[in-house]
Amino acid sequence: MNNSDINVGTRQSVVAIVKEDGILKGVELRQRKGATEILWTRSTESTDTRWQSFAAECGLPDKPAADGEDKHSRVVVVGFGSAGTVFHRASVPPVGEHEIESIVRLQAETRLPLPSDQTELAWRADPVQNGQIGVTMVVARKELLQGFANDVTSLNPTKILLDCEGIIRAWGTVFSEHEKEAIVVSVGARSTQVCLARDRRLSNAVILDFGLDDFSGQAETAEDTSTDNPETQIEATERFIQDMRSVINLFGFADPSQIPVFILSDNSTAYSNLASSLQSSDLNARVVLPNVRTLTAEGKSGVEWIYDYRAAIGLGLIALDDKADELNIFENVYNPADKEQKKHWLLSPIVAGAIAVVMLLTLVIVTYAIDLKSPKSINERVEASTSEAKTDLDSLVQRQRLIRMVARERPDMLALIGTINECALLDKKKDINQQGILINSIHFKKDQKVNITGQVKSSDQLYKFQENLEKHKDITEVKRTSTGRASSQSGRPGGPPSRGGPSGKKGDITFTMTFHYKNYTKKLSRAQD
Amino acid sequence: MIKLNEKDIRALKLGAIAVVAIVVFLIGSKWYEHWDKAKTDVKVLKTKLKDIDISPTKRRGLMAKVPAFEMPVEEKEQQFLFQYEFDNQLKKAGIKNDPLQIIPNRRSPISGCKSLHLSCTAKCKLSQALDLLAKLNENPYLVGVEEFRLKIDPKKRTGANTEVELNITVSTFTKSTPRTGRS
Repeated sequence: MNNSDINVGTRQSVVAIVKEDGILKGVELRQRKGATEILWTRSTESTDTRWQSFAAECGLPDKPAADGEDKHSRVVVVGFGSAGTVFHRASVPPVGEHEIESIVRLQAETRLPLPSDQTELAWRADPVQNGQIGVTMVVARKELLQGFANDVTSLNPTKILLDCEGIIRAWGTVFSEHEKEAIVVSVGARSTQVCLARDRRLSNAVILDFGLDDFSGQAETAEDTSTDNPETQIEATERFIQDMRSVINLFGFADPSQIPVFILSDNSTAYSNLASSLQSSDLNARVVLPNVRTLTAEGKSGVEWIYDYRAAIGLGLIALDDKADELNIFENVYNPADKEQKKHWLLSPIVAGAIAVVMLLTLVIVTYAIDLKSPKSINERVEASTSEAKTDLDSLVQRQRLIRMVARERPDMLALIGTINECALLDKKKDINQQGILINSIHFKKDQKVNITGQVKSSDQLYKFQENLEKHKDITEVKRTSTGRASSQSGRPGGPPSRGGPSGKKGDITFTMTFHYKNYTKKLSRAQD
Repeated sequence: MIKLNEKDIRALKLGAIAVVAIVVFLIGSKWYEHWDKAKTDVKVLKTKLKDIDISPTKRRGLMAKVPAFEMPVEEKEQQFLFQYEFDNQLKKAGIKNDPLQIIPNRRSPISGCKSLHLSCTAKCKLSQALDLLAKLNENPYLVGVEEFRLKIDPKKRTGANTEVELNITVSTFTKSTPRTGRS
């Protein structure tokens, strides 16, 4: 299970608050130049102080940061006392995360007396060892977790962590002696946390309802044990040894002397006495003290001080560690107001922007390359497509222009003669020879009107011929410039250009006509073309 | 070593950004200039292609009017080629013409070209004149008919064998040589 789904990568400091034996303890930690610095520590004097009041004392805002405010300048984490939780260990074959999840849930359901809808489960898998994956499970009543979450909501914590995780982290970081596998004992006034640590990670935990107060019977602090009743002390010590043996057996160690037992200590005699008692019953127990050099702090320092805030310091260290894989039993119960879900890297605006920039650059480069390559490519294709050697596009364009110009400048004389003949067909159903129209000459010159001369038998024929010419689409501005009577025989039955029939007899009407043929004879129009 | 405060670091960052921006601007403007030229070349080329690329209908129309075409060459060579080709066409039509009259150095509507005219006078049959007109477009050097006069002797009007007086002036383009200045 991935419990580190809260991104606190840009924070500056962490405020960790934990409740131990009814007393609220808070620290603010900051990482600076590779070292962890304690900015301040604070604790309540009475056991009835509420979380919200203590948060106000610590200077935490009572409302979540609004949009636009720096939400990550100060991250708040809260420790949940492990008294109401149950830890289990299980081994599963090396399978995928989803399969592990299924197996873990199945095992949890079989072991727990409560239905799954009333409990919350968190788990963490260890690396594969001897073909098996060790899984740490923690289960708690949903109702209990919801109640706690409601109590601390006003602090707007980014995370709610198990305080025993803080203890293990504190031991692994701040305390002086470590083993790969060890039992860490954190003795409080009224309870004791016995945690199994593997590779400095919490592997299992049991809370003993037994603390320093039980040794003294009435003493309030470890220093006051000198005034305790000896009988009570002996009885309590025996009970403690017995409980410790049972817990070590529960953790899976048949021989309790095999596993080192570290009793976290502030260098007081009470913890040394406990360690001596355990040693006397063949347990490999010893006290470990905080290493004051691992943390820097302005003003306060000392073993007792660090020991006193060990759980809060441990939780703060977890929150400062981006790679921490903590057991998040509150995942489904508590949703921080400024929770930022880890998104897929592709959904990051920076990545999307970078991709967009790269694509834009690619587009520009491709467009540029196309623009650069196109002229050469077109010319090559043009050269390849023409049969003539060394024909470039300019030559082709010039040729095309010339051909167009020639087409415009080239009148079809055959078509002109044909048009005149067509108009001379006065009645298209009758033979032309019977019509008697004779064309004697055709004169065409560019930029001048076409001039034709001829003979007709009657005026009607002449009018009809003129009308036909006027109706023709290629002919405009038809004018008769002169008419007269033929004075002599003008010819034999003949053919073109008029295909006229026998005529030319004396008395026929002679005529001269002018007209424009298309645009060839119009000076202005041709110039405009 | 000099310890830089935040202000110095900010100034250095801004300076570095400015230097990068100047370099990018200089290289970018040169590059854009080059690209702009390439784009203009492409545009010109596309215009040229548009000039060449005509619809099939228009192409058919052009081919009907100008079935053969040779690009004009220098005046002397063009004159010889055009005269030779036109003379052949007259011969093929069976027209016995008077010597062709050359009218050189006429203005042409095309820049870089001049117009050269050939004038032909002949007496022939009407059918021969029509044959000549029908085959005239096959002359690859021909630009157009500048003048055409067909006169029929009314006394000799005998159908296709009618005697006609033909006077035709045809034109061609010649490549004009650019004038060289004297120093």
